[in-house]
Amino acid sequence: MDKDQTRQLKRQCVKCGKCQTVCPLFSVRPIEASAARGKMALAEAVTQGHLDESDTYRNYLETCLLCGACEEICPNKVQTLSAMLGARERLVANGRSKSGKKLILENVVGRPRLLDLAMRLGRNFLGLAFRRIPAESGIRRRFPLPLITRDRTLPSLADNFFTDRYKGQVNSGSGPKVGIFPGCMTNYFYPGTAEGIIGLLKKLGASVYVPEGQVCCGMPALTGGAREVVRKLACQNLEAFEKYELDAIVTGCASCGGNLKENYGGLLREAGVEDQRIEEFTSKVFDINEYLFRHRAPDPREGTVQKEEGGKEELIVTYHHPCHLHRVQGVKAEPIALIQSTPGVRYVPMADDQRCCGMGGSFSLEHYDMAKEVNDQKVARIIETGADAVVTSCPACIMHIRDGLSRNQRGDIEVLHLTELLQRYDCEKQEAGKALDSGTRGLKTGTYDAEHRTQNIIRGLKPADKRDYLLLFEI
Amino acid sequence: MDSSVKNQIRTIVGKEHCSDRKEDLFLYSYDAMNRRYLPDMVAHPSSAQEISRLINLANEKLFAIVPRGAGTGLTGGSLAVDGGLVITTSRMNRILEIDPENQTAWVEAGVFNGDLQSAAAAHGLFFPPDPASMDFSTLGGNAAENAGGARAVKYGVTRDYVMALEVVMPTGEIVHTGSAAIKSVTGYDLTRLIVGSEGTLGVITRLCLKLIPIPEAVGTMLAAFPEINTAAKAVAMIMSSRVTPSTLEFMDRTAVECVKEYLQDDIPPDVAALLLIEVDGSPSVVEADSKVLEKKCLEAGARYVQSARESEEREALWTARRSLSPAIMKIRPLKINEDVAVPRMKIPDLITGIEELARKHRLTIVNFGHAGDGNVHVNFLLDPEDKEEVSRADHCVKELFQLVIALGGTLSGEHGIGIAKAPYLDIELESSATDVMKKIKHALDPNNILNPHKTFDYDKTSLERELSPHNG
Repeated sequence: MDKDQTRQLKRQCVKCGKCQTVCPLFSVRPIEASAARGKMALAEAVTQGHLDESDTYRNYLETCLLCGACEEICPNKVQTLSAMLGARERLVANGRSKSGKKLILENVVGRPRLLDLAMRLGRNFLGLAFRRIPAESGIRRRFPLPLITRDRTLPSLADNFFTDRYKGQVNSGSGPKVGIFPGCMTNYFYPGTAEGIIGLLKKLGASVYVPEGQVCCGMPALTGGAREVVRKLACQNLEAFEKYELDAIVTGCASCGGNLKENYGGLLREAGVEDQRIEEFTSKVFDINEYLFRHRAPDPREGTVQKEEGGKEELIVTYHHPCHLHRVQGVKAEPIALIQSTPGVRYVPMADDQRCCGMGGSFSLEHYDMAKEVNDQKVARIIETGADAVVTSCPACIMHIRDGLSRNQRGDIEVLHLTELLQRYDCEKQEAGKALDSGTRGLKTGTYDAEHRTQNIIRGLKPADKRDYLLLFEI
Repeated sequence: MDSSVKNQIRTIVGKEHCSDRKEDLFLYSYDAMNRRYLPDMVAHPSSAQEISRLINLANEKLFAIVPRGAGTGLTGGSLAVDGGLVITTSRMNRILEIDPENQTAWVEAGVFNGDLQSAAAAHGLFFPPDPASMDFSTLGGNAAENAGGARAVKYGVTRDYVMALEVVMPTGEIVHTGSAAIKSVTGYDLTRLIVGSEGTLGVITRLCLKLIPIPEAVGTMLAAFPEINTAAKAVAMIMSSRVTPSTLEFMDRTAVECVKEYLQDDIPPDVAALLLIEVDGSPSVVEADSKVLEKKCLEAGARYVQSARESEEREALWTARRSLSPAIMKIRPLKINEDVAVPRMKIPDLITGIEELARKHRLTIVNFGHAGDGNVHVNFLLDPEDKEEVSRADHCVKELFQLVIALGGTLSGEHGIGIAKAPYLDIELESSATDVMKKIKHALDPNNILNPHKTFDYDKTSLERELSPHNG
């Protein structure tokens, strides 16, 4: 975005302050810097040359979940998100980004093979750095680690990454040719979700593909202001998917979906890709909720309780709208309709179900204190509903909400991706169950294996060192 | 402001609660008037005692103190036009007590109006003053500006609901005014003196507010008129009937266009003005009153009158109405926003007069507002690059004020004078009246510490400190 464009966008902010009523950060830090009005004012002052791109400026600008609630409520429809991303890009362009951040974005996110390698290494050493929390299906760090606090529960890296297991054509059917874009978090942490998508697509009779050569969608780099990195990744993904001549590209990650649909157009155009190719690609991207909703008519028994014969009791579920799904992609009604049409499931709405969970991608790494406070509000809303499970449709939300429930001693409330719910409670349970089981098993083995490997390492240690290590685990 | 003064400020409020970093000064340099004046420092005190110590320091070192609620004012009341220290009430945001039996509430100044509404609603009560910014403006700010709102036509304005105050005076004393008793005639009515003083006579830190029971039922109607004048006539007819609506809002065609995305039904092209009307009370009263008002509208020449069928529809109408002020900026980048008020029977004359002025000065004017209480928001929409147009608007504003005064009205119904209307004050006030105000100000604030250069203290030089939108 050029300077004039940003100025144009920002000029429309008339400083009415209405964004403060919906800003999740303003609710926990009621200062002018929190909501869009303040951030716009700062970016404006920089553009006009009144203010330097100082560390304080950068910090204020980056203290934002990019949830888009401000843009939604703005009476003037000021494009706050584009303005914020534009300002972050200028920080990077002017060499003002946080030391190291640019390097990480360029060399890890921007170099898919390195990212993959890092994940593989990470998996092997996971047991050393983290301990598993049995009841809450997560892990916590064993000793101080940068950016990760003690009380945070993180998902374990999967033993088998999704794209290791599934490559190229994974199902042949008579229906449409559908490619899966799992996204990094799903691939490395929650492969069960992507396996669930395969299962659901199979049932629709689709030919399913996991295109080889696909890479990170680039979202972390985009929010970090490293637009060039994302441009490169966008081109790689375009080429990877084009080869398969697909009818649709489906993802279960709200952030990836939003990025592919909304940002890839501009990015690919900047990279010199012809409009027609861009259109071919972006028009085929669907969130899994959207795709399923379009391809299987929603059940007319909406909202009615369907007990399975002789089966278990109904499951009460509530739904959290991921920002990148309902605001960026406008997918709101579909997940609710899908939940309501699932037999054995009763849907109860949650207050503020469209409010951000507080994750905000790398925001939660750099500002976990605030991410946690915003998340506590979400967790309170979830608990209020009395639901057995909270369903959502984004791996990042799942991670953050699971952490929040566990921190609030409510690890008993399940956090499910919508595809997991559908798989588990769908009519054709049998066949679907298999796919999910293997997915879940993959996850569990992953964690236990890491633990196991750690145990072996400890066993091999000299008694004195062993004591030190065990002490370390108690931190 | 030198560094030793800044250090003393840090000692008073704690260094994590104040800042003189340029970034923070920018963050507290504006309000909803959208002009910028950089303060020298910003502090977020937590009590009247801290504010008192800051004011004492200001009197000793002679710097300005500018109180700020949420910075949602439209006339620049919270702008540091003379530099100095901006103090916010953001850390004083507790609802101290809601007394459902006495129907009162004690709140700290930084509580958002909307938060009090939710807390009161839990007891079946509400706080009638409802400025469009109610969800994000503070009660301290509402009182300092004597904010109005759509319900004023039936329920009055902020001043009618403030019973008692805790105020830090410009010389540092902490004073308690008024009483939580409904009747109280002990001494001068200092509460009313402070309410509406725009932060020039004291810093409000706590308020005792009157609450009233939420009416059992509300009826909402939207009446559409083929001409702006017939809508104005309907307003006069409604207000002289025996039914007092709880809301009687007016929007002209252009205003409606700006918020049409919030409205569920399309507005036919031959509609030039809308009235948003509400009546409240018991269900039978609401039903009967709605019929009376519907009839009045049709008699005046309404094309149709539509009732909001569900609460969602009502919400949509209100979202549209409350979004109007910022939303009309879509048309042109610069807005001069006046909120003149006239005795309500003069509304038709005011509307006709405004139309004539717009024609005469070739200006785009958008009108909306609280027609029922005679308060109309007249918005001149301009292109800041077109110097000739801006100058025409300046003349037009002056003529608008002259018209309003000739009709027996007032410069500002609810936004306050601040810096926006200070240059025009003498159109309404005789010099003897401003002299009384000046004497009061001088008696209470001999060093002119508190919010200088606002209202009658118009100072052209200090206003020129405004940061230009251009480089440098």
